[in-house]
Amino acid sequence: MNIAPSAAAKNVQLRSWSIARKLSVRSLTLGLTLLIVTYLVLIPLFMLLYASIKSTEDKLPFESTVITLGNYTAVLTNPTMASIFLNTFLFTAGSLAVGLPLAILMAWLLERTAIPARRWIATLILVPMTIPSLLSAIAWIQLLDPRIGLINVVLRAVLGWSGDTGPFDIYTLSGMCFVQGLRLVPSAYLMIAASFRAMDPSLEEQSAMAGRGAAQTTLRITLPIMRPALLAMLIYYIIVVIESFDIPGLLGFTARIRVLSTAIYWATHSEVGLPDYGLASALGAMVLAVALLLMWIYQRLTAHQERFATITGKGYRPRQIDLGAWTAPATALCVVYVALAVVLPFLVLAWTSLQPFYAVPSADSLARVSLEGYFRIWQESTVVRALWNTMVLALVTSAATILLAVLVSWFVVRRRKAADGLSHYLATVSFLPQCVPSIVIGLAFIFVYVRFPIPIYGTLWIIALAMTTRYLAYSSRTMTSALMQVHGELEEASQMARAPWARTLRRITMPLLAPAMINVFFWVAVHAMQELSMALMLYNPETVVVSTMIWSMWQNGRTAEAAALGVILILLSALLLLGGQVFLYLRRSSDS
Amino acid sequence: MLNARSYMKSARTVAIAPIIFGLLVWASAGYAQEKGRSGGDAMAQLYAAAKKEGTVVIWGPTDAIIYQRMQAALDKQYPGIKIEHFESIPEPLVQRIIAESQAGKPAAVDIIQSGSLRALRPLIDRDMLAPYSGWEKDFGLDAVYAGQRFVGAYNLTLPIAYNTKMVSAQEAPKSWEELAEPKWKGRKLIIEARLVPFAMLGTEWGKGKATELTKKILAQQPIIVQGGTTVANALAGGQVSIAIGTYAYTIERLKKQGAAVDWVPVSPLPVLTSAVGVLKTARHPNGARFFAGWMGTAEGQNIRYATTGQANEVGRTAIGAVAERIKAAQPAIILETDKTFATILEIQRELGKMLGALR
Repeated sequence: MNIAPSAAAKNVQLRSWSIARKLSVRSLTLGLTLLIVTYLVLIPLFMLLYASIKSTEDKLPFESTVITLGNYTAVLTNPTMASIFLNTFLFTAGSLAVGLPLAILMAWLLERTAIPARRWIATLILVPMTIPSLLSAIAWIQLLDPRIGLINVVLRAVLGWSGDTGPFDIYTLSGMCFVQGLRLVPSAYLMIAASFRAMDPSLEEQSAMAGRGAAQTTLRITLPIMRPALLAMLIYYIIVVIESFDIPGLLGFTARIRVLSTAIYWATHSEVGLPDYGLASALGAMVLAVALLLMWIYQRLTAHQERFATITGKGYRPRQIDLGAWTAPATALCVVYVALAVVLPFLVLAWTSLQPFYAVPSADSLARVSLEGYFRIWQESTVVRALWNTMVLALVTSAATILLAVLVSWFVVRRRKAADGLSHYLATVSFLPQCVPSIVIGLAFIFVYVRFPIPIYGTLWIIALAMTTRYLAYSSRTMTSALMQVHGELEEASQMARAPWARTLRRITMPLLAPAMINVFFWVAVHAMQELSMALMLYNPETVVVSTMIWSMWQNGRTAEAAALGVILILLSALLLLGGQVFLYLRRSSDS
Repeated sequence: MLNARSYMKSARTVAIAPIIFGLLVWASAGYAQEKGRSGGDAMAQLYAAAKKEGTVVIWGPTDAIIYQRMQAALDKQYPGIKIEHFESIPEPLVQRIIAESQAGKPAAVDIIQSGSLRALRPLIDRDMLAPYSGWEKDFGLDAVYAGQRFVGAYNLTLPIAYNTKMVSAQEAPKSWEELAEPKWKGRKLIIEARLVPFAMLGTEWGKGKATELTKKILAQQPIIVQGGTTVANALAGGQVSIAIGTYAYTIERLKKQGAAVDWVPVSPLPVLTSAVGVLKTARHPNGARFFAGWMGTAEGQNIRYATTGQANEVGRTAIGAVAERIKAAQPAIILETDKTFATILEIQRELGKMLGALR
C-alpha cells in the first residue's frame, strides 16, 4: 500500500524531470540558434543600414561623421532610376520565367518519372554550378554573339543569310534573361528536388483513380502540395536575380540594360578611390524592403503548413510515373540542357586552359594547344595552400551552414503556432543576408572582427563565418521547405516513446531530411569554393583560396592558368558531388 | 697689325679653350664622382639597414612569379632581404589598411602597390604614406609623385588595339575621333566598362570634348565588358575588330604568343602609372624604401619586363617594345600623376553615368 503512492510519486517526479530536461535542451538550442542567427545577420545588416545614412563618397562608413538621407535622395531622385527599376523588373521576371519552370520540370522529370538515365542526368545537372559564371557567360557569347557566335554562323550558312550578323543577338534583354535563367536551374533544381522526392504518392494515386491524367494530376495535386517549396524558391530567386551582376556585367553594358546590380557595381567597384558604401547600401536597403515584403507574403500564403505535409507515419514511396510517348522528348530536353549548360561551358573552359590566349578552334589554334597552363600553376608557391584552404573552407562552411539551417528550419516549422513570434522572426532574419551586397558583408566583418577580442581576424574562420552568414538564406529556405513536407506526427510518436528532443531530431527528423541536407551541403560547398567578393576583402597570404587565385590570374592576363585552375576546381567539386551521390545511393540501398 | 693682333688674340683663345674645357671636364667628373659616391653611400647605408630588418612585406596586384625572380636577383646582389608578397587588387587592401589602422592595429604591410595611382589616393588623403627623397636622389628615379610618397613601378599604356586579321594597319584608326566614324558601328568595337582612356583624354581636351566623343563612340553599339583581360581575349579571339581599354604590353605579349593583334600609338596616348608607396606604419621601413627603389632600377625593371612584359614605358628609365614604339611615334603623352588623378577621377565618374553609375 505504501509502495504504490511512492512509485507513482517517483514516476511523476521522473516524468517532470524528463520533460524539464527535454524542455531545457530544446529551449537552450532555440536560445542558442536565435543568438547565433541574430548575431551573424545583425553585423552585415547593421552595416548596411548604418552606411546607408552616412556620407561616404570619399570615406568609409565608420569614418564619416555626417548623417544624411542623401544616399536615398540620390537614388530616388536620379532620373535614370525609373528605367533601372523597370529593367530590373523585366530582367528578374524574364530570368525566372526561363529558369524556374525549367528547374521545376527537370525536378519533376528526374524525381517523379521513369525517364532513362535520370540518376546520371540528375548528377550532371548540378555541374554548371561548379563552372565560374564569368566563363559560363563567355561560353554563351561564343555561341550567340551576333558575329562570331557558333549558332549564328551555322544558322547563317544553313539559311543562306546574307548579312554578317544575326539571327540571334545575345546582347539584348532576352539574351540576358536566357543566360541568367539557365544559370538558375541547378540551384533551383536542388532546392525543390528533395521535396518532389519526399512526396507521398497517395494523393496522386487517388487523383489517378478519379480518372485524371498525369498532367492534370501534376497541375492540380502535385504543384499545389509543393506550394511552400515553390514559393520559397520563387522568393529566394527574385532576390538572387535582382542582386546578380555576372550577366548584367558581361551582357548588360553592351545591351544598355541598366539594372539595380549595375548601379551597385558602380558604387562598390570604384577603382578611383573608396567604394561609395552609402549609395550601395541605400540600394541594398531597397532590396531589403522588397525581401521583407516578399517574406510577409510568403508567411501569409503558407500559414497553414500542415496542409502541405506529405511525409507522415503511414509509410510512403513515391511512384515513378511512366511518361509513355513523352519519354523520348522529355529525355531529349534533359540531354539538351546538360549539353548546353554543362558540356559546352566545360569545353570552353578546358579549351581556354590549353591555349596561350582565347581563340576559337581552328587549325592555327590547334597548333597552339599546350598543357603549359597546368604545369605553370604549380610554380605558384601558394597554389597547394590555396587548394587546401579552399577545401577546408568548403567543408567547414557547409557543415556550419547545414547545422544552423536544420535548427532554424525546425524552429520555424515546428514552432510556427507559438504565440511568441520567434518562428517568424527566425524565418525572416535568416533570409536577410541575401539582400546585403557581399562587399558590404566583407567590410562589416573587417570592421567588427578587427576589434574582436577572440583572434579570428586574419584566419580562415572569419571567411567561413562570413560565408555561413551569406549562405544561411538559401540553406534555411531549402530546409524549411523540405521540413514542411514532413508531418510532425513522426516526431510526436518519438517523443511519446520518451525519446529526448535532440535524439528525435537526430534519429527521426534528420534522416528524413537527408536528401535535402546533402543537396544543401553540396550547394554551399560549391558556392564557398567560388565565392570571391567576401574572400577578396578578408583573405591574406595565409588564407589565400582558389577563387582569388583564379581571379588574380585572369586579371593579369594569365587565362590558361586561370582556366586550368578552374578545371581543377570543377573536378574537386565533381568529387564532392560524386561523394554525395554515392552516399545517397548507399543510403537508398540500405533503406530498401 | 690689326690682323696680327687679331691673330694673336685668336691664337690665345685657341690655346686657353682646351685648358678651360679640360678644367670643366675634370670638375664635372669630380662632381659626378662625388654625387655617385654620396648616392652609393646612401644606398649602401640603406641596404645595411634593410638587411638588419631582414624582411619586406609588399601587397599588390603583381604576379607572385615576379617577386620570386626578384628575390633570386636580390639574393645574389643584396643578400639578406626576404620579400613577402601578398597578391591582391589594391582596393580592398586600401580599405583594410585604413580600417585596421583606425582600430589601432596597423596592417602588417610595408609597401602597397597598385596598377594606377588613383587607387592609392585614399592613403594620401589620410597621410598614411611616408615620403622618401632617396628614390630620386640616390636611386636616380624620375617617376616620383605626391611629395615623394610614390615611386612608379611600371606604366600601363592604353592605346587603340586592333585585330590584324580583321583590320589592316592602314585601316586601323589613327586618332580617337576616328572611332566615331560609321565604319566602326555595330559590335565592331569592344570597350572596357570603366572608360579610363576617355577620362584621361579629358585631362588634355577638357571634360566637354571627352564626354562628347565618348557619347558618340558609345552610340556605335560597341561591346562593353568589365576587365582588360576580357577585352584582350575578345580581340584576340576575333570577336571584335578594335579594342579600347586593354594595355599595350598585353597586346605585345599576345603578339608574341601568336595572336593576330597589334596596337596604334595614337596621339594623345593615355599612360597609367603603377606605383608603390611605403606606409608610415611599416615595420621594415628601410627594407621597404630600398626594395621600392631597387624595383625601379634597370635591374628590377629588366626582371619585371622579362617576366610579364611590364616596364616603365615613358620617361628616362623606359625600356621594352612598348617604350620603343612610343619613342618612334612621338605621340603626346597623357601621364597619370598626382597632379592629374583628381581630374581623371571626376571625369571618370561623369562618364560612368552613361553606363549606369548613379553619382
